[in-house]
Amino acid sequence: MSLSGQRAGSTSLAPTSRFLVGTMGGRSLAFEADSVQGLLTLEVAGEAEVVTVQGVAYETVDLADRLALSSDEDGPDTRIVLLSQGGLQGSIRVAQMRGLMELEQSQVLPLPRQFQGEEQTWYRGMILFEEGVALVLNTAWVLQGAGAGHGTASLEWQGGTTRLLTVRPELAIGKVEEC
Amino acid sequence: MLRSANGSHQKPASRSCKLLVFSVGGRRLAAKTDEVAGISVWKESIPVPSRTPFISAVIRQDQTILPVFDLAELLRVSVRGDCLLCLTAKHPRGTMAICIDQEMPVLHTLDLAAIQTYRGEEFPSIGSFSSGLDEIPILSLSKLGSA
Repeated sequence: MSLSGQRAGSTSLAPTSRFLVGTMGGRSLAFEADSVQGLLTLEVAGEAEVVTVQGVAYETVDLADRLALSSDEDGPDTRIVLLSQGGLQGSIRVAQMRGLMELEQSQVLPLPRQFQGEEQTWYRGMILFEEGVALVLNTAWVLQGAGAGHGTASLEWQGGTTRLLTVRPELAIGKVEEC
Repeated sequence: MLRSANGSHQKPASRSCKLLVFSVGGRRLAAKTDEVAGISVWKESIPVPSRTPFISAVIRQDQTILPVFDLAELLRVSVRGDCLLCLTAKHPRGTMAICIDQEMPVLHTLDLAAIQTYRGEEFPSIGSFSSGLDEIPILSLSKLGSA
């Protein structure tokens, strides 16, 4: 798997944010990269509802259900996104990771004000992605869905022999390291 | 792009308003041109999971994202045509897009005295007018989506 990095900004020194964009139920969803602790293949994650990586438990968040999206069939591009923020952790299954983007804050467009329902808490905004739009997820809201009390399984860290894909904030754009 | 009706070349009446008559699912509606920002070809919308009634998608126009108000769903009809049109409506919360039938909208100048009360309650209106045997409601675009 490879993720293509995209830099939409110019040489401006304005504060930037980075987003990992994946698809779920045919929608493009953007995760704040600083909250992404890793990407797992299904082979590594297995069928466990709780995945423990390096001693940290990531409980499954059924985001497709919470967003009323159709569930994707598992496939070779399916990835488990490990999220962590504010002491909460969760794992989310996406059909495919599409890319990594670095954008200036001003390029994160607010949700149009016509959206008046609780979805205002679901998204931080929208970003232009490829020919369409990706919805920037509110990580805090996403992680509220973690912890449904499922069975636990532990994933042993196997160093360089596993296929855990890590995304580290300090990495340069477009570089996704396979450990 | 728009056709005109009722003599657009004539000097308008002093107490008149300009309307755009369009159709959604074959149902003819009108809106004040003051509330219409434009008509263009409809581009595929991008669904957005949402709990707001009739607002569950956006469209992208170059670097701009517009919310879509699903007027057809409100009217419980399906838009008609292979080459649908986008009515861009001015709204207090920001410009929004409405998918309408491919039938080309018509500009219509109406004497204010011809506006009558519209009794339908499925959408906000400022009245209606008669066109032949039809009663055409005048939609208040700026109040769409208001609870």
